[in-house]
Amino acid sequence: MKNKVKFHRVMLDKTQEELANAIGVSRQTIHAIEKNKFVPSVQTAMLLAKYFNLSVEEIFELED
Amino acid sequence: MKLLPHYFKWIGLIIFFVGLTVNFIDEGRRGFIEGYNDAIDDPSERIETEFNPVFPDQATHLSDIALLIGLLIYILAKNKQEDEFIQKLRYESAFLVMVISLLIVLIIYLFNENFKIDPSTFLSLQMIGYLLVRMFKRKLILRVDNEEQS
Repeated sequence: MKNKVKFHRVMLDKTQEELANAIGVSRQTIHAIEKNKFVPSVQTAMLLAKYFNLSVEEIFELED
Repeated sequence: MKLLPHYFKWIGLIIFFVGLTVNFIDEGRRGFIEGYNDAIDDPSERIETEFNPVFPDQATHLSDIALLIGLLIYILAKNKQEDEFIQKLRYESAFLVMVISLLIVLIIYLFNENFKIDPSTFLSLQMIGYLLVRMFKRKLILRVDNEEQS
């Protein structure tokens, strides 16, 4: 699973800490998601999508 | 998974260190003296010929239990920030340690049918192993953490 969390976060000029606080997870979780070391739950994915005002599919995509 | 509040980490650590200290007073001393005496060739240089325990045997046994309970409470207490990523690390580390410890015991037993392990040693090694694996996994995943604050 690939994601564009870092891209969208940087576009909004937010730090990992700010994003983590906004959606109620730890900064380590955001870091692990951005590094593709951790696939978040549906709930976290939807919270991220809501935060970026995008759909989940625009942030996460399945790898071939 | 329901976990204990974060402040239980401190309670667990205190119980662990009390258990460790009481345990060390007799068991640690006994181990050190016996080890030292075994290593000395000249019997006149032995530091103590007769070991006098400070606590009764029950106290040493209780300190062993306290040590294990302290570790268990520490493991079951939440981190400062507990979320799904930390939970995943917990599950993966616990599974890894369980499989590795069972394999080690199985392999040793395979080559030595008289192999016995003290339950307290086995449990404490498993719990310490779990804490170490969890710490290393976390460090490994977050190792490029410092470069990341953009």
